[in-house]
Amino acid sequence: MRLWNLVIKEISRRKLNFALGLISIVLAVAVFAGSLTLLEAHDLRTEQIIAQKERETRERMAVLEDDYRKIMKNLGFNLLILPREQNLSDLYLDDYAAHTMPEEYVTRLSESRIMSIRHLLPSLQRKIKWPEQRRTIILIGTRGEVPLLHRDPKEPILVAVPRGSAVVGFEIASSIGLEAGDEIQILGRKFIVEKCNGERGSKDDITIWIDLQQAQEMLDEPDKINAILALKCHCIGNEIAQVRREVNAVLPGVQVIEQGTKVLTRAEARDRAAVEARQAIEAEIRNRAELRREGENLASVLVPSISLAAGIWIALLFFANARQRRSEIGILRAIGVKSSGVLYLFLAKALVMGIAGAVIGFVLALTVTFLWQKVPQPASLLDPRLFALALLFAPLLSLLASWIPVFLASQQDPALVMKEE
Amino acid sequence: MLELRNVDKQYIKHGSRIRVLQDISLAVDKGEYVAVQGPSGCGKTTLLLITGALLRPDRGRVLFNGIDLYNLGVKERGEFRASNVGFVFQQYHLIPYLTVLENVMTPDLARRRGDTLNRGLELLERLSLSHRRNHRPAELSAGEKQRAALARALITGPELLLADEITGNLDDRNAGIVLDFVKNFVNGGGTVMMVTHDEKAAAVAHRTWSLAPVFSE
Repeated sequence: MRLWNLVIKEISRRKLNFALGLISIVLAVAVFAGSLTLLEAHDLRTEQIIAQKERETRERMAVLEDDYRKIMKNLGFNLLILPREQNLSDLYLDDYAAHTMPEEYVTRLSESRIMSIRHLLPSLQRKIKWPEQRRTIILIGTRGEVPLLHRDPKEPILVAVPRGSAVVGFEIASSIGLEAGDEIQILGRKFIVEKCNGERGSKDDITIWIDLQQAQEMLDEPDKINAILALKCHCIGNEIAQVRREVNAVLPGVQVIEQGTKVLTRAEARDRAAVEARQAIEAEIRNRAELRREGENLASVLVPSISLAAGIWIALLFFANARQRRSEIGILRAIGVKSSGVLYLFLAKALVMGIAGAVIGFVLALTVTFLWQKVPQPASLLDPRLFALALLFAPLLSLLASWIPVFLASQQDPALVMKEE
Repeated sequence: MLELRNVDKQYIKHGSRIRVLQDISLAVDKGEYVAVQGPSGCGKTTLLLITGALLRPDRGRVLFNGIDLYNLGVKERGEFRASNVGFVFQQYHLIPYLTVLENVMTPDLARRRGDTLNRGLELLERLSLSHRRNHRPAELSAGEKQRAALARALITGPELLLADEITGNLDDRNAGIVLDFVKNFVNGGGTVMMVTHDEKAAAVAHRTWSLAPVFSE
């Protein structure tokens, strides 16, 4: 007969007392291990969500790249047709063509049956001193779109500015305080402001658009233009060289350059999309981090509270148990069992309670976590260190909580018990 | 073998001092059966507990085979009890979740002996409790419980049996069985000090020692 037999037999005999203590330990361990496991699961889930979002973004970006390519293909090239004499270095420096070519070129081009060109916008541009306002502006005369006569009429890309009207760039309008309907004078001629453009952040902000013929009169360049903008130019194989050959066949000697490359546009669009995707992922990370902080805060309150409540509950149960076993303790001491033997009887019970509570509580915590958090590999949450910590925490809680009642029980005077009973 | 010299004991309850034993001196020889009698509250149980090295007297000495028990430390007194004394109480004090046999074997927890199981079975046989050995105390009659308690007290083969009103709750038949067993123990060389109100129990004793109440302050 050993003291351990008494511990086991007492537990099996007084199941309710043991079960009530066990439940409190299970709860404490479940909350303790559950909090840590849930936070771990949260981190795993966050990694999973972020990885998934990054994967989706990569896939979307690939699709987007393809879409942009198709869209750009449909848009075709934007070409600038310039006079033969135009020095391209000057063009890039001044941002407009100084030399001119006959306006008749645009008519010839439109009637040439070049299938690859969809829209033609002739213009006469000049940087001028605006004497009425004492400032330098760019004056552009345009007649809008030249219809390609041999095709069905197309929806115009650019509407012409009517004679006597002017479209004013943002910087000019805002600095002078112009609004639609106002009257302005340019080189002694009166114009009604038809529209004030919004800010574009380019030379357009210091530009005034007027009717082409009026511009030719004002700049003393009758029947002259200095650029044709050919928009949405398509050709087989999507090659600018093909378009250039077609144009040169009609207008020998003119220069054809691409206005803004598709690759650049595509890259810009892709970068914008990438930035937005990155911002979305960062927002998700911030949200997940906030959720984790809330979880940590809750755990920091819940774990000590539940542990304290479990400790108090266990202490009360052991007080009751020691009182119930007063006679037993008395007779054991009377027959010569030492007080350390009595301590052993109760502390071994507390230890069994703690170990069983740790195992059950840990399993419960994992089960709840698995059900709550959809972790891709639940086995990754089986942290041996956490289990070891639970195995340390639960018996320690149980032993500490039961220590006072157990110590008092072991110090009971057997003579007093025998006399009172 | 056993000698109490000038033993005093008093309790303090609710601020009042209650003197229960005053200048008690008593000598019991080996193999002697002494019945202790006296009115309720005169200190009979206190005397028994002091004799059994469970309760330190305020004054006086308790000698067992020449050893002053209260000169021993707590641990040594525990070992002394485990080796030399068997206790039987009116309320049995059986452990409720153990079987009869396990209860009889509990002294093994204090001091391990070689043949406890066989000795326990033999005692249960002699006390007609073999058929009850796997029963729990709650399933026993009062007489059976007292016999189980007696078996527990004697399993270590003590020299001294201290019994407190062990026939108080028993009918004549069961009381007879218990007293016969005590007599057998004495006949085998054991010493008995029994506190009792039972005249039959006192009648079989070698000597009856009457304890008179003392004046309480």
